[in-house]
Amino acid sequence: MINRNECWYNKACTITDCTGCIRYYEMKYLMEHSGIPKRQQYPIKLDSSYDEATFEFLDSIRRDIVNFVDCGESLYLFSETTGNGKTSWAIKLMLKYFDQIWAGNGFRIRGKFVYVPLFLDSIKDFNNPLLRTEKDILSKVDLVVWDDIASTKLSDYDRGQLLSIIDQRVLDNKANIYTGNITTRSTMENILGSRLTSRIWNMSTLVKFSGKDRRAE
Amino acid sequence: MIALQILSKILDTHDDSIIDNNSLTIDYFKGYEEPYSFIQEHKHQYGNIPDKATFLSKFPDIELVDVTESDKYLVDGIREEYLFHQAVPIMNHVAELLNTDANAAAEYMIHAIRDLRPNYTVGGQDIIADARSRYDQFVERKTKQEDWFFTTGFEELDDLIHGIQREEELFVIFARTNQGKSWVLEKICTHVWEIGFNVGYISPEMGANSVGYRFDTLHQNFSNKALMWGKDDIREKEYAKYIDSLSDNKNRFVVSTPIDFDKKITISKLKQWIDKYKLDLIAIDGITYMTDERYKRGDNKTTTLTNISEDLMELSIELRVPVLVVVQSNRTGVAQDDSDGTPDLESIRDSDGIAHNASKVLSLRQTKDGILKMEVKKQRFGAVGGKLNYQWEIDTGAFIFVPANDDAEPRERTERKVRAVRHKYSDAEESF
Repeated sequence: MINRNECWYNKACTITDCTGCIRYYEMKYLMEHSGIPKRQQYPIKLDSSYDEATFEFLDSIRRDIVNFVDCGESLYLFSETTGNGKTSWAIKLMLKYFDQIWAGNGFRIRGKFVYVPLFLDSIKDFNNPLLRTEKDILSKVDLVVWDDIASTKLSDYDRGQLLSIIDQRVLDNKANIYTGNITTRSTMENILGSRLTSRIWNMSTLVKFSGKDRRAE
Repeated sequence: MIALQILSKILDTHDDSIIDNNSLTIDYFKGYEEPYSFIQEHKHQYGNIPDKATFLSKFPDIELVDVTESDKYLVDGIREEYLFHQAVPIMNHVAELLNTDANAAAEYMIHAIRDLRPNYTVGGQDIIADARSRYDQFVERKTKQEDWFFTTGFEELDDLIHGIQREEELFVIFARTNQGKSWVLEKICTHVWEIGFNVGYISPEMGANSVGYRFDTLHQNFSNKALMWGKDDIREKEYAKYIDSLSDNKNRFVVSTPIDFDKKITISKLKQWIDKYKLDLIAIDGITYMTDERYKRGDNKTTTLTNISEDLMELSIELRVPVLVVVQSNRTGVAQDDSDGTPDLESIRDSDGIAHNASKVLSLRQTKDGILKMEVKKQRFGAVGGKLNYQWEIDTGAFIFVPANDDAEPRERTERKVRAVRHKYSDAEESF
């Protein structure tokens, strides 16, 4: 049974009988398999007053998100401070993508949200039978959000694992959105190594956030 | 004697084509198995038929004979001898059975006798001279589709497989356990009943009433949970009215369990069952519950299931009744559960023979999200690999087709369906 209160289109949808709602089922599938934290799966309004130009630029991508993904584009959203909307924007773009492609999706996983520090922990759990599947999915889905990349220095193993997936995605022309607090190429190279940095810094549109930490307000 | 004549002729002419051309195996050379094997092995090892001296040094007690008979005479003769040797133990066994159970004796004899058919009468049809009959059949198919095909109740599946052929159809549905095989089987049966035909359903694991409640769910969307648990969600009056209305239908939906078949579901009994209830389609919810009438001591499960599936196909051809059967997939199918697809043909449990004999194979997988994925893994007269997704509301028996851009349907049709789905939602405002 469909719980209307849980529906992403609750406020906008004009259909009153939810029985057999394909949009709900497709969106539910996309959301549940995306890895986006439950709390952040619903649309939110972001305050653009601090970063007007940045928000405007990202909004233009949002409006053309299918083309962005189809072209295999990448973004690196970064700032010195935390809590100024980088992750929220990355998720917002992914949600918009889901909104655009649910019709005709046929219950396929199309986007993945990866909190990188947690992911690096999980790939060391060699007893996890789903690890290979998970990595396989990350290599193939249309869009991946790599949240908080380069927050800690990577071991050779971490770097190898991350590189194999990201490299595959870049080669296959798959879209990526990275978020992080590294603001210079040399610092990123120091943490991630030159090969990963080359793929992230050099092959993405760099989008700098300059707002304050709104979580502190 | 004929066996000796053939061996003598081979040694005399240094030519064993009589064996290859007529498929004469070692079984035909009763009493001469060793000389037969010796000649075969010698040829295999040295590339020629042994000469008489070599042969006689190995078998000094054998007296070779001069042979002037034709190959045809010898082949007919040895086949007749072979038939005799095969028939004797069968007849003896029939005689033994007759002492205790004439039914069992007759049933055994009917099936064993089929293997005894003389195999030198080889038939065929000249498809050039008889081309007209082909044309006539095509016209009939074209003008009377319902005489040749049943729709399945899954419109999109029908687009891929053109429904169920009413003859020469062994339709296999397979998946891991608890994936919805029986539901899909009964959904198809319910639909065939709805379009006015007699359906026979063999249910090894559920009683007739449980199958009946599922029928009610699939036919009129009554909550299955409420029916099974006796909950108040369904009003008694409403259900009673529906139940009464069923008797307006003259066609049957016959459910039988193994007990109805004295715990042995055999092909012979199926034929009687079909005849008794004038069934137009039969469904068997588990091929492993069937008994192989051709079973011989030492046969393993693979052989048994291959025999059964072969016999089911023959039954379908003979009686012009399609057979739907449910088969489990093995653990390979489980591994594939993590991926996007459905189990492959090689995952059919216990026997490749089932897929070999089937005319159509439909693979299923139910995801934890309540999505039923179908994939056409085999069909004799169409493309394989067609995938379909259904949002399945188990309790109400509703299967809602969810179009996907990678459906096997014609692209134009898929795009039309996708557009239609999107068009259905005209939101008051943008959500994302």
